Amino acid sequence: MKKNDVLVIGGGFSGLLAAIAVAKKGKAVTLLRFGLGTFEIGGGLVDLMAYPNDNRPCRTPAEGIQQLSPEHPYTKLGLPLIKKAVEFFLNLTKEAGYEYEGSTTQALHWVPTAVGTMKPTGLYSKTFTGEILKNAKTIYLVDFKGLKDYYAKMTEQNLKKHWGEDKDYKIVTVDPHMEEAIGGRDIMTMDIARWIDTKEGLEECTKQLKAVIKPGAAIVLPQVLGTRPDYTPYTFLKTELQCDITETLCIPPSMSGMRLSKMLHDCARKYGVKIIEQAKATGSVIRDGRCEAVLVNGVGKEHTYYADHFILATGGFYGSGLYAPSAKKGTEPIFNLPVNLSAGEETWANLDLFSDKKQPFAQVGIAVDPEMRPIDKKGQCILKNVFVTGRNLSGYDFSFEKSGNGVALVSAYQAAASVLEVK
Amino acid sequence: MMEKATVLVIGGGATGVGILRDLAMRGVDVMLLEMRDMVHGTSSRYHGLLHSGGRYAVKDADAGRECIEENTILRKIGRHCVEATEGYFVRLPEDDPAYEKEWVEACKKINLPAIQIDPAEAWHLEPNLTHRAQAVYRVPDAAIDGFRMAWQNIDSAKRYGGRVKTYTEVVKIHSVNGQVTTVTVRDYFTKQQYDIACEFIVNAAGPWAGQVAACANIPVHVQPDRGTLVAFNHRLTSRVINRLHKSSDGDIFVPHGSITILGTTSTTVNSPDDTQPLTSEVEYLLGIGELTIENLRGFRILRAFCGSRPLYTADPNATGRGVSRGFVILDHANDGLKGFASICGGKFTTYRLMAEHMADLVCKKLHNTTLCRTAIEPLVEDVAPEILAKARQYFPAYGVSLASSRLGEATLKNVIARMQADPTKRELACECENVTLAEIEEVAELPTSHTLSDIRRQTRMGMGTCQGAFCTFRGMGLVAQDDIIPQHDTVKEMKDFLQARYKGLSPILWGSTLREMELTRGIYESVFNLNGAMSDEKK
Repeated sequence: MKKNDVLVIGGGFSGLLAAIAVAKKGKAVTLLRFGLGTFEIGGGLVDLMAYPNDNRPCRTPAEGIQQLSPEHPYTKLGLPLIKKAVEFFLNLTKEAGYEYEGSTTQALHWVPTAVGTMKPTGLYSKTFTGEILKNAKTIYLVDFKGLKDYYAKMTEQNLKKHWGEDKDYKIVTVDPHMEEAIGGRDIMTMDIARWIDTKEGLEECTKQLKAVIKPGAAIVLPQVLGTRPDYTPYTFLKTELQCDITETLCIPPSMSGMRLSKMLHDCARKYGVKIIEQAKATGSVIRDGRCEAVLVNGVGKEHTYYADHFILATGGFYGSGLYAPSAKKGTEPIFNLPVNLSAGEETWANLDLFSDKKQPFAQVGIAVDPEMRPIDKKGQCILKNVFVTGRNLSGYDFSFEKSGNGVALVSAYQAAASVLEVK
Repeated sequence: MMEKATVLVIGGGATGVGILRDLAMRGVDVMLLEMRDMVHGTSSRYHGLLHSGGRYAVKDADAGRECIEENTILRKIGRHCVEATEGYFVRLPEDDPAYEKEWVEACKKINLPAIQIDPAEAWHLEPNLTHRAQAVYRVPDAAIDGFRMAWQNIDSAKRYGGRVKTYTEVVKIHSVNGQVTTVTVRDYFTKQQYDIACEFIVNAAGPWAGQVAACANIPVHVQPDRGTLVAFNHRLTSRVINRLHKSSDGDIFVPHGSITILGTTSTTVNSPDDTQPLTSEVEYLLGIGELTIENLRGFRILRAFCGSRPLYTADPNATGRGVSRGFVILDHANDGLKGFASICGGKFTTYRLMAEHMADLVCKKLHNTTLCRTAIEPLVEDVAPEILAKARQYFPAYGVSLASSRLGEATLKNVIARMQADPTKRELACECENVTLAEIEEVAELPTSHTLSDIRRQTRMGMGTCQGAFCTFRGMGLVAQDDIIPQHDTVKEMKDFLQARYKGLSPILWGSTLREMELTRGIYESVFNLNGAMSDEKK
């Protein structure tokens, strides 16, 4: 089989970005994937950094990043590189016609959730903005008849707590005409988004909203503004209703995450990344401190993928890139890399799920050098041509800090840079 | 006007609800006070084993005899709560063969049918059982659902006029001339105190019985004894598996539906509220358990949990498994206070018998001559076939029998009506346990439902494989949507609910549990920022 320049293992946010970054520079890239990453959970936002130490938010992501410990991946990567990685991502989205906004130096961007809480993020599609709620006198909360997992009254209750009682909150229910499905099967945001993808659906939805909504208000919607990375439904609705619009974050599956996924897949295809589906990497061939190939188990046979460089973006414990058979042991199944399990048995988890401290277990992962190559306890590089990215890394708590896709992006960008520089 | 009841029963565990039902059936005006939610204590934090008596046969023949007799009764009156699995007693090479002989004799003495079978036959029927087994005996053990049994007792008691107040804590017991007159209680949520008048008080507070008795300045020495258990997300065996040796830690497996519970530990503690399970305890249990089921660590653990045994002893120096598991009734008239009695010790299997004895005492004092009928009258009637047929039109196919035994006929009818009236309420809120929005709504509207966890204990929402990852949001959203429990702080409520799940997950954060935790935190911390919202509260 023809040898690749680069083999990326993992098709989530980090793996796709790393693959795109090296492919863009003309490298032959193959990506092995087994699973979908966490696009459908994270809501398509790129959190950079909001809570560096405790549950008080920092002002800007950059300020927060400067407060982190030396073990944090961001500290190893450094602010100048983080800025470059952000630039790289924003350019990609621009190129794809679904431009994201945000930066490391602007104030945290707060986005409303379906609970009605506000969540801080870094880079975001235009359909997410809590900013519009600040000055709005009237806030319309749009629900859809039969839609599962959306409870506008709870959203209203908590938004009221946050933004004050003096605004006018109104719940509006749009009928997507899915009577036959109600009670028979779940109606998800995807169903509504597909309806809005169609010209008739978008017009019907607009018509129903126009009948009750007055111009100049703020509109809060579930994630239904189309299934594609395309601002057409958003712009149409905004113009027709003459209102500001935001989507909310909800429990999976996230439509906006699927838009981001589609955008990155289109991009990867454009730059010639070869994506192999249902390929679960199970082992590797190592010689003299270098990886020669990765093994993939198919049905009853084993495949070998050779490459010069390997990027390990297998998604930590959630993505099965890491596995802990017991409280005392962590394993990385492909390269058998050491997993940092420094926390003691009874200090492995905080007493409270939610507290002002990061969770020790969440910071478990693979330690790397600034090039993103795995290192041993003494800090020595273990494999010269393997680069680890995203949730596999040790030293950060993505959900406490709100840094998940940020670390995934920047580490992927660094891994790509290392591949391109290292000979 | 002051509230009153002839008899107040303190404690909403198995014993308390048993006494409530027994007295109500005898026509006594009775009210039960529970400091939190029903069955939040020991009665829901144990194996769920309906003992055959084999475990106590050697050391405590009386307790063993009570077990086999009550076992036979509960199978009849509570058949919707009992899974008649039968059990094995298995002797391993490390277990003393002399004990086996002693045990066989002891079982005969208490009329417990223990039938020896060839270990090879046992392996054939229980493939996960170790081939190191030296001797195997069949006994009539069974699995019992503690939550369901308690709720069915309450429902039955209510039909006879029994009343229940939850989240009502006893603060002080008052007397005049050595006779109990009133009780001062405190509402858990409003913190308001008020009095309830009564003629007789039954202290059935289990490991909290000492604290309750102290409200009347009477010393009752109940020693809380911590027992940690592990629930596996698999049915490891078809039968209950006991080790055939002197009762010890981690030597019982009880299958329940699709899960299995392994336990327990035994540690003397100061407070019955000390119920945070520890990783070291889980490791300890796994180490013992894998002697009986060798591939034990290959199975996913659903959660760990911990309860407090109410060990009673007149001897304040006795502890742990040395203390009898029999029960005693203390008539505090002997301590100079009439109209007050405590029931201490005992175990879930004998809750009905304990209730009968206590109710006998109360009735004697009240000059009530009605006889006890709890051993013959079923807890609930079977749900009529036409109602089940109707439920099948709306429920998920495999959810009907579960829901009908969980809810009982009256509530099931209401849930069906909700589904008929509003098709959106047929949606599943909890896919793991098959709980529909209609059922959550119905239970949420009960006067005893104050929190999401109260709804969980009745519906099983959040108790399955995902441990609340999806249904926490849905349950809360529904409650908020319909203004069922008004003035709710939904953010705090969701945090509390997830914290209660986390309590049993934090000691077992490895394997699939660790993976699932990434998802739960991804949703509630990363996406919904419940944690950051907490800092808003502080401002």
